[in-house]
Amino acid sequence: MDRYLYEELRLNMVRRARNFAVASLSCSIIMFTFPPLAIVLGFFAILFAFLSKGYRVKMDKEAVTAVKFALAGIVIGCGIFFAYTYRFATDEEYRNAIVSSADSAYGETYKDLYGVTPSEIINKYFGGDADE
Amino acid sequence: MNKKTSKDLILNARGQLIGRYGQAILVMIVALILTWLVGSFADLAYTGTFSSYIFRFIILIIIDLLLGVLVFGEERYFLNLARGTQGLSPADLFYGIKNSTDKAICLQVVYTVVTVISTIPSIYLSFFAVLTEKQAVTAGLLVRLFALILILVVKMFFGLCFYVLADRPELSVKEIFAESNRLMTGNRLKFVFLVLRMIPYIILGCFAFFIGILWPMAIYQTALANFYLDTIGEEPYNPLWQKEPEGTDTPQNLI
Repeated sequence: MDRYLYEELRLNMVRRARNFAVASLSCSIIMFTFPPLAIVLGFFAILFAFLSKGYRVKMDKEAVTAVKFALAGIVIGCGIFFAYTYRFATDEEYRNAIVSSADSAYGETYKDLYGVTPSEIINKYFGGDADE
Repeated sequence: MNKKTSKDLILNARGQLIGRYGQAILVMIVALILTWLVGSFADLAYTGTFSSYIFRFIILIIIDLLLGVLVFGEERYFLNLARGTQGLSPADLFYGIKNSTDKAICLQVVYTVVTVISTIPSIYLSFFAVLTEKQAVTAGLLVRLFALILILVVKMFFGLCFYVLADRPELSVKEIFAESNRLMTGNRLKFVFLVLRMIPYIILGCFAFFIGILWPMAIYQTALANFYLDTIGEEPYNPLWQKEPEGTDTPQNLI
């Protein structure tokens, strides 16, 4: 293989690998603008960042930045998710508001669909003093 | 020869897949969809009774054997990818339908037997044991773990048989099993390390909405093909590992 072809091939591979780094960075930026998908997009960003390495051992700068963003986004996303879940499990008013809005959106009540209310499920598995 | 570590194999697989992820994932998706589609026909036979369950089970065994053809095509595709073969196409998935069909089905028997053995505990639990909800979940997880370990152990002996068939179709089934076992001798630990090294990637893929698992699976298949090439002492495709040509930095005159 002559030098020209070698360089061409190497550059082409680096360019293609860099596409993954760009995809990773894009995922990590989009995740901050669309919080409901933050956790999923964060893991996608980390995955693409690893794929961007290709034959190399180290990642591009873009990919490293994307991983940092993604980790921050995942932590924030998990925090928000657990905060809302905790509130749903402990705050009766909040739970009733969510259930009633879901019932009105679907046209059927949760109890009709599944035979139990969320409060009963929480009581069954976690005990506590959730309302009947 | 035979010096590459499991890390090298994964690194090489990652590099070989650059620019080819789309096609490799397409091959895997087509194989998955066909497996699911053909397998779902067996569900039509299940009416809830024990006899219908057994009937469905027998149909599933037959389907699993026939799907050996697809497995052969898929592994041959990834082997060609690892070799850097030009003109690869997703149609290579169906290579086994016209070539070495009988041998591919015979090789699949091992995996089908393993699947049957790993299903026996779940059949027993479903029909003959009375379990609470929590016990059923635990038992289900243990059965799946048992199945995974069983498949890993079998792969440690016959994991390369489809690659051997792709390379040397003139061999008989018995010889292919013997050859696979011979190649795996001394490399079993490396194979286990390769599988273990893929676990973080697969977990990452699972968290990425399970769609993300397609990329790690493509890497795993290519790494396995690289592992085979390593065991037979063949250098896998890697243009960047070739010796850099000497000369000036300017392109040479091609005429």
